[in-house]
Amino acid sequence: MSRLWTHTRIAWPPVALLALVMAVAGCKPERSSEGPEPAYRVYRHAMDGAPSSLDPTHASNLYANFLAVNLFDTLYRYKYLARPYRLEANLADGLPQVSADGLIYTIRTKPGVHFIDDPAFPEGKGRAVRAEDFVFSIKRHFDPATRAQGAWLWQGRIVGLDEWKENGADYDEEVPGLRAVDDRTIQIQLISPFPQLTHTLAQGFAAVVPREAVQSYGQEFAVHPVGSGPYRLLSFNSAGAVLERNPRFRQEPFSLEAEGFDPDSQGGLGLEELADRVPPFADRIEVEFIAEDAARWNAFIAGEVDFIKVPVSQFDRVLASRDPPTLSPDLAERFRLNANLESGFVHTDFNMDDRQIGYHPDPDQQIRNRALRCAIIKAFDWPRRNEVFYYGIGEVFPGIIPPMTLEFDADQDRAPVLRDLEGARDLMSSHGWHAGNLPVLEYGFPSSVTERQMFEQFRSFMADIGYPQEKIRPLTYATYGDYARAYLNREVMLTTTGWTMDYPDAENTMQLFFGPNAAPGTNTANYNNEEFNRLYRASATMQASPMRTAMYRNMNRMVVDDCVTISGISRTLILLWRRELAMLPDRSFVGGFFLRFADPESAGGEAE
Amino acid sequence: MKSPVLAVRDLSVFLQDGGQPRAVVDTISFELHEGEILALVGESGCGKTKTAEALMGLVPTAAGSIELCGTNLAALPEARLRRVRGRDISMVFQEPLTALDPVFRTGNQIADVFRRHRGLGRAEARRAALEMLQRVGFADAGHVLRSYPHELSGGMRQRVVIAMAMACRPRVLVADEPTTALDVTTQAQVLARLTEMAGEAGTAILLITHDLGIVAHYCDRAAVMRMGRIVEQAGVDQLFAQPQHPYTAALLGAARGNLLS
Amino acid sequence: MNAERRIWGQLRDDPAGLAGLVVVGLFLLVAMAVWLGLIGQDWSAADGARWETPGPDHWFGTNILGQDIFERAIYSVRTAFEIGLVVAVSSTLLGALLGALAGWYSHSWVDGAILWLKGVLDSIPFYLFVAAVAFALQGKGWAMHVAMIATFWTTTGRLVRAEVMKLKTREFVLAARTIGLPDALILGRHVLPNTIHILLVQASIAFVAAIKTEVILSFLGLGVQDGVSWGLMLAESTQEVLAGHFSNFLAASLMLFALLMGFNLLADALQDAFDPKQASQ
Ligand SMILES: Nc1ncnc2c1ncn2[C@@H]1O[C@H](COP(=O)(O)OP(=O)(O)OP(=O)(O)O)[C@@H](O)[C@H]1O
Ligand SMILES: [Mg+2]
Repeated sequence: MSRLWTHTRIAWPPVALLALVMAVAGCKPERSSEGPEPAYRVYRHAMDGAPSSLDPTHASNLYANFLAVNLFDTLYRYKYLARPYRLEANLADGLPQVSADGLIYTIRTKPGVHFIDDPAFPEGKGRAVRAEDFVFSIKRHFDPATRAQGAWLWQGRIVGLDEWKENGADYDEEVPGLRAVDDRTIQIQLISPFPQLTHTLAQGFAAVVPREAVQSYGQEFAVHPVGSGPYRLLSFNSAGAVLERNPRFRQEPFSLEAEGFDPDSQGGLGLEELADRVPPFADRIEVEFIAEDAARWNAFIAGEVDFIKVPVSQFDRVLASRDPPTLSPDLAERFRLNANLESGFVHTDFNMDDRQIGYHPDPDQQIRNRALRCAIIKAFDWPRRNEVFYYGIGEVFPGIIPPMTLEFDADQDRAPVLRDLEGARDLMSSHGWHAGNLPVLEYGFPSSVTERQMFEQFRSFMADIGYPQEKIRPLTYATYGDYARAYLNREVMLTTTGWTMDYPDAENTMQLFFGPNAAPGTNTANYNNEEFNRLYRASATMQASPMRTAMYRNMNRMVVDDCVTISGISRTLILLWRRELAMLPDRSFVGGFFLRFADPESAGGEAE
Repeated sequence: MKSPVLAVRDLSVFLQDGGQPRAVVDTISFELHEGEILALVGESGCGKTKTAEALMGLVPTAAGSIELCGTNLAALPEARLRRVRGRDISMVFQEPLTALDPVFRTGNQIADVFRRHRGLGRAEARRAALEMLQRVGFADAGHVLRSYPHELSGGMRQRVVIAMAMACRPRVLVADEPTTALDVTTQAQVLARLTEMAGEAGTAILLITHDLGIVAHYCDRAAVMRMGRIVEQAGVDQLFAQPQHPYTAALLGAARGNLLS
Repeated sequence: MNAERRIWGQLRDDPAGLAGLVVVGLFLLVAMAVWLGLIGQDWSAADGARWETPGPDHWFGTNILGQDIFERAIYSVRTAFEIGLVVAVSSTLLGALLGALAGWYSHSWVDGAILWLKGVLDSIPFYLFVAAVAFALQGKGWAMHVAMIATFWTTTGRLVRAEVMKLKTREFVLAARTIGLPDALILGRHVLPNTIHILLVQASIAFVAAIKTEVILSFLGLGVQDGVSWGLMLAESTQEVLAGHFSNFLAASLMLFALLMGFNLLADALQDAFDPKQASQ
């Protein structure tokens, strides 16, 4: 299962290193905006981290994925404007044809798609993209020499692919379940149904690369991308990347309807005027990697970049109101705002494997333990948690289906996330719990200021139902890795983690509570409910449907009723960009796919 | 003649002086009988203190034997030696101030000897210490018992040291210039007390000194040391009357010269 | 007796030293009061609003969680003294013991082993060492104590070793041997007590160093795990000062500064009082 972690801690060491490198070198990405010709449109993007490689097989973080899907083509992408997120054909010329048993996927690619010109090709001319290139690109993940990071997406799922790896990863050897039927037809045969397969084909990991370039550049391919995406690379270093429009990119006029435009929430951004024009709209993209919050913010305010994910430290200054988030008037003159709800959530799991709080061989004790867990959940003050740590703009919801999924039920009972001190005390006393016999709770966290504050806040919430302070102990770890190791060993009683979804399908959060996924799997609560497991097995092979949604919601209710996790909250990111730009940026599944639609000009008025 | 309480034979002590080991005590032999007082004289740096320290086992001996009542101390392991020290053989140091622990009350230091060798309890050892202090001539022994060394005068301190050394009525007492640091009148008092107590206990004394007057007045025999060797050994009367070795004669001459001037 | 009176006398004539003594005494009183449960007990309760400004309810204001910063700063005095005392006493005792052994058996294998250990410990970068100990002890709160004790003893050890090598040849030590006292007794009763001036000064230095180090370690997340300390408050403040909330920073840094100043003045005065040149006057 997926290991695209979790909390806000994304690859800090490289970021810190990068900041150092930038401080030392003082360098900036090369730029020609001094005297741009009037028709030459430049969009400047700021990112809070940098990729270390542009090879799609290494696109394991946000930053690498962001660039990979622009330099290369993927079969699928997400619709620019549809929320919740929906798939759209990209290099493929339609959604896959799936056999009745759900095992065989047939995908046709669009005609006339070419790689960019590059010395790796005969006479330097980019050749046509073939189905065989896709097969090669996926195989690379299973070639130990590539040190790829995306194999988990397809491991144990495609007929013959794992065997291909075991047999020595010979690219000339056929994989029965991953074939190019002809130049434009791909056929994938699954071992068992995997309805989320199409989502995996919309990730940077699944981008199509030409074998010639990989062979001719070897290790250098990481900084010398040759693809068929909307942009090609001009320069790349630790301070930034410069991309130029790929003149041979396929001509597909922009359609508001097809991209899922919602005039109510998305009107007035200038998007309407883009209709029928052909992306990519910008001639040139400059991406600056600025790890340091203050530096990034200053660059944005000074007009050096067009876009920023607002650092939390600036929320006070940026936001005039929180619900819904609106820009303060002085900034509203220059910028537009998008509150981007994350596709994931933060939750605190009880370790059900721990007899003091979870399952117990004695049925009476098990009932008492559940009552205690429910009381703790009732005592948790979500509004205050949201207020203090998420600036009050996070979205609190009961259970494990986050609001950003299609399966989310906006009408469900919100009682499980409302604080009920009296109910909590009643539950405790009716089940014989009092300060004297309450178990010592060990709350784990990696040592950091925010995590410690969250712990102390939890302890103060519990003080309100008479849980003695000395009975709630911190279990600290020097690094996130140590912490993860401990909870994967089931050593932590209360584990707080964030989950970032791998694809916008609630299956990806359901599996977090599937019995057989118990730690060291992703089920850190070690929840094991027969009925839940049965429903999960049944739904896992189903394509999205109202019936499957009903099953998910049913499973969600079980997790809530069993009081397994204190859940949850989806964080909101605040994205800002210059008013003059007609665009709707996104940090979630659309991610880098939005760049081709970023229009530096059409909303009128040249800045500066 | 009775067998000696202490018989030293061919004793040598080597010290690392710069690079080469050097014999600072070089194959010396002498005997000490019960109740006898033997003087060890010689110029500064000739090896007197080293000889004393070797007898106490404070410096390693390179060769020779030190027989105390028939037991060779030079061959004893440290643990056994500790039982002998302070009980059968003890020592009085040259400098009475530094011979006492400055942060310890004098009474406790004397009591230590009784506790160690007599196995006395805390209170008994204290009483024994008090008695010992009275015997070395303190009128207000109780006060001295509770004093720190720096609160006492030089002569008082040396008497405390003597009390410690004589506490167990040892067979042999090594006294390394016990009075050099004291003024003349105090010197006489202390020596008188020391020899008197030794006489009562039958303790033999090796008295190391520069002072030929002391030798003449208190000692039975004398050994003359020069550059680590004993050059002459004789009864005091004979030594003063007919020095055999030219060095002894020179030593005596120097002393007489001093007396004349 | 005499010596104590003399040190007292010197301290009385030294206004800076006296001021230091008063400051340290006040902090000690606060620490004791916290210990006895008289004050600072509500450091964990989050009963205020977020980032309240100083006022009658919350003298130093509140932090992000609405916890009272005055209570936290006061409780941190106890944390500081606990760490300071534990580390000062343990590291000084350890240094005295190992230094005395090395000095007494100088140039033997015992001495060699202790010197080697000291050399190794001195050559490891301190914060790396703490991180390693913290890792080995899996986030236990006393990892930092262990790390500090394990490294702070070396200076004391070196000084005691040199002093013991001097004392060893002093006549009263020889005298103790000539009355047949065993080595352990001589070391414990006659040698170590004569290094007390070194031990006192070293302990006061270790006390200050431990408090300072705790702040840095807690700031880095390697220090206090359960409870509150000035270091944790300072760590918290780094996320606040940019947003204009200074209470955590001011409370923790000023109290730390006052205690360290007081202790430095006192330690200087003590060092002067113990100075052998003055003692001989
Ligand atoms: N630790 C040492 N290392 C090397 N040589 C030493 C050491 N201690 C003493 N000596 C040397 O050993 C010799 C004998 O010294 P010792 O102290 O026995 O002389 P002494 O006869 O007692 O002199 P004094 O009358 O001055 O006390 C001297 O030459 C001295 O320099
Ligand atoms: Mg001498």
